[in-house]
Amino acid sequence: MMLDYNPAQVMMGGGSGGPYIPTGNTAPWISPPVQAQQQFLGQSNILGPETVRATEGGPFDQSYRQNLATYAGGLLQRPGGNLTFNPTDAKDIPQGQSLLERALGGGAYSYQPPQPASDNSGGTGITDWQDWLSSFRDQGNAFRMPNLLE
Amino acid sequence: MPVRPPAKESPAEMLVQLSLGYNGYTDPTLCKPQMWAPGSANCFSGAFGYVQRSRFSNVILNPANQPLNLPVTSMKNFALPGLSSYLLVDMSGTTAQGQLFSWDTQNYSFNKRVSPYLTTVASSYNGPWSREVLQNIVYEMNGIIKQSGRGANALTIESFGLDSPDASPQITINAGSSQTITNIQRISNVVTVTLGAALTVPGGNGIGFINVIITVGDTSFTGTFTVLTGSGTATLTWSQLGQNTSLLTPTGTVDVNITKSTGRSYAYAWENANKVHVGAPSPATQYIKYAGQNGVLALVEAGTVTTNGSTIVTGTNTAFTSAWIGRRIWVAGNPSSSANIIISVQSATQLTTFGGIVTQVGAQFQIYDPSATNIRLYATGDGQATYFRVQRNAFDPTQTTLVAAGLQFFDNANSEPPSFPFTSETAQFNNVPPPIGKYLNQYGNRLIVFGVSGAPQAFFYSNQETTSIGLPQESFAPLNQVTLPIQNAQINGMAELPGSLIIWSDKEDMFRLTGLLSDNQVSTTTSQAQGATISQLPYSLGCANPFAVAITPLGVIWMTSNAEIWLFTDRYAPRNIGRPWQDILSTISSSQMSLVRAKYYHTQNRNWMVFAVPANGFSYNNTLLVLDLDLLASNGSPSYFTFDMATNSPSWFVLQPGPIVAGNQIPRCDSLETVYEQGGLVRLFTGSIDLIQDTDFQAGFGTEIQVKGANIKTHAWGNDSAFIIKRPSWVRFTTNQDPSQLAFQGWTFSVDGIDDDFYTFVSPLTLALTPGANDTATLGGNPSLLSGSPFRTSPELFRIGGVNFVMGRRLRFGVQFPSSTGQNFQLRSIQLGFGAAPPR
Repeated sequence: MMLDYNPAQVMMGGGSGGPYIPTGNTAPWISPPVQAQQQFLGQSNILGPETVRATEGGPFDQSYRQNLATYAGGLLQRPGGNLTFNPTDAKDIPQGQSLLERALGGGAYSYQPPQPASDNSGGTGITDWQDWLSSFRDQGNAFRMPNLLE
Repeated sequence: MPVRPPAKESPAEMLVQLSLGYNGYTDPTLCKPQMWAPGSANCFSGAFGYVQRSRFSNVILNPANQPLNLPVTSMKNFALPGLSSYLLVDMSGTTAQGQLFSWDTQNYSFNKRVSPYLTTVASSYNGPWSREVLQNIVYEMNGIIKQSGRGANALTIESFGLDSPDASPQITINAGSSQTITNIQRISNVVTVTLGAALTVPGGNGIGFINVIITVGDTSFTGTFTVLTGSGTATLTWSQLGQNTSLLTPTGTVDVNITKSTGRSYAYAWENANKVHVGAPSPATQYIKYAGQNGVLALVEAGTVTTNGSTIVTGTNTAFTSAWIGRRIWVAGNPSSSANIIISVQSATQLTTFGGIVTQVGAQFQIYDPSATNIRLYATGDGQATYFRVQRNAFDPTQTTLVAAGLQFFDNANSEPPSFPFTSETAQFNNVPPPIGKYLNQYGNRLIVFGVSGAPQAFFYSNQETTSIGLPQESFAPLNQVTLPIQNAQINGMAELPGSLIIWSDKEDMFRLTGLLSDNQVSTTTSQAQGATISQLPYSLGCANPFAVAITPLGVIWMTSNAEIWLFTDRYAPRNIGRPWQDILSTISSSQMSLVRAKYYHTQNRNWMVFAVPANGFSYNNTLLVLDLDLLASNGSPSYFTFDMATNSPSWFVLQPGPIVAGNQIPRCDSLETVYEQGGLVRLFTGSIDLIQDTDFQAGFGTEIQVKGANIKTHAWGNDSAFIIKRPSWVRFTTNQDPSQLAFQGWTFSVDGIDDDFYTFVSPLTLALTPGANDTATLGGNPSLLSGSPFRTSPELFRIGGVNFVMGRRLRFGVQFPSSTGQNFQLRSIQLGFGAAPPR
């Protein structure tokens, strides 16, 4: 008896021989934006290289496993700068946000250089002291201990 | 004038067209005398009708250019238009490192193929290699490594696909700067601007981008450009197509600032410009939300390394991976060379290189493929998902700095796609190299890989639609794979017929794939993407190994996993066409089925399907089995190819090429290839230990050798009247040689008598006939016709009814051919008669 089927129906499926390729909400270009998350304001002006690694073992040569991992995880977030998972095990695929999701949520990497300290003294350093005295004299509130003066 | 009455003819028989070939399968009491009994070897026939002794020649002694005492494990004909035709050869043994060679068939000059991907694994280059040629590139796999070869002799060995980088670029965010425009002018497509103060462009002249913003005035100057001259001064120039203008004073600025509301992400990929291939991109960077800033991108791996002149590289905060083995490490401060090949990775922070690396402490580093020549940088639009190519650097690993090596990019461009520097080229996410397999095949202009470790039931196929930049045949989208439902079996053979692909397992599975394969992507449903259908054929036939298959004009012919030879036309059910020599096939050890090789060979009056097999339980191939396709086509009908075997069967011939050692021929034919020489000759080559032979020598390069043991023994004449004892009085063997030379040349003949009572097929009454000894080579008449018979008694005529005695219900005839070189020795017919004299 002839058995006809589409190759897609036998492609990997639940078997253990093929790579797991993320679909659905892990694909950044079809995912909705999410809420803003951690900001990187004030971090270093250098965003270091972030790696994606395939765990060793399992089917295929290690080079191909690494390529699968890059393919599957290259657009995903890498907490701590490294994302390591088994690209041929569906259970091990990272479920985190994509980089684009994070950016659309306001979590893009940015760097704001620290503002230099304000110094109006012309280099004498006396202005700060004068401001303090002025505040104390004119208002006093800056140093008032509420419970003592009332 | 009286007329001489015609001589009285004696009863006689002529055996002609002795071309039905070897038959060790059918009961010998049923076979026709045109069939050859077991033991017949080194002869062949064809539709031309006669029997010819084979001719062998030694074409290449020491294919490695020196004795290796290793067999030629596989060969491949590789021809390049306008160049030559090459014979790719590999030799290996169980304990020796495999080696690759090429021989130019134009002059049979030697070349050693040396891979730049050196490894220390002794068996890395061991054959057999599976090879396919596409677009003048030969692709090779052996189950351990994969590679490609191109150019003359395929000497340029490169990777089979380019691995994607496995780390995102490092980005340094710097403050931007801006200067107001004092005046600006465009002449001959070059813009010159004078600024209020000097502007330094990161990247410098010829590399760095500037953004031109006009708020009041001629806005045609607006855009992003590469600065040509003047970086660091107040006068800059850049190219811009447009009409000439006068010296204008618009309100605007020139800056090197990027400001994004959501952010921009980057990725990069390796490129081999020599064959125009681009790999899949690296992991992308986080989206960079520039705020009046610009970025410097360094393409380096995570962490730093320290070297000390030895082969040990120590990392700090690194993530070394064994996936790097075979590739090279570039260490900032040092030029990189073949010494930098990574041969092992001990841990995430330690690896070993082939040679020592000059001391560097805390250096940035990169991992690269030596076939990479360029780097392509991709970037997204602001908050966008698509990665477009924005820049491209030449890559030179012999340089010692990031910039000089091409590992650094500068991004000052504030534009958005599709404006410059964005191109329409997108990152090639599906240009993933294939997994390493043992076998390659082609279907629909796609390469197919199977025999992959861990996935023996799956095959992987190369891209077409999803690779817009680069070589599709080196790109295997991860979903381009099909797993067959074959339980514990593994895919063990493929053959591309017109419009379909036949797939076998090593057990009893046979599939037929029709339609076009299509690239599968995550974003498309597989049911839409798939255009192919696979049907499981109900024949319970597997395949001995992927090399035991060949396509012929009649269909695909292959050896099954249970050592049978079948023909499948793709229109009718398969037919077993190997029955005549099943007795030989059945002597192949099941553990040696992987050694069987098959080739189609067609030249002049040869139209052969050839198998090399390890007969008689040998551990190497020692017998060639040749099927004449002309006779197959004429004896049977392609629609059914049915044979009664006793009177009509496929014509198979047994050849035993091999080296002559101490006067003896040692049958050996490990590998098999049809070679199409640059000069036009088509030749059938076999490879054995330190030797490549032409097993159908007709002309061309090589030294013809003697052919030992060439003989045929016919099946019995008289099977159809075995109730009668035959007692011939003479027998004559007609050849294409001068009969007077038969003795000198070394022909001998024999007749076996079988009476079924005392003399059996196993122990017949045998009469050996040697020209010059057993025949009557005296004059039987006067050639001048003055008297007597005008014919001589030929040295090929043996009178056996008198002195020599042979009789039987069945008679078999044997012919032992000379072993000498230089001539085509042919047997044309065998005549026998029962009168005192032969008919005239």
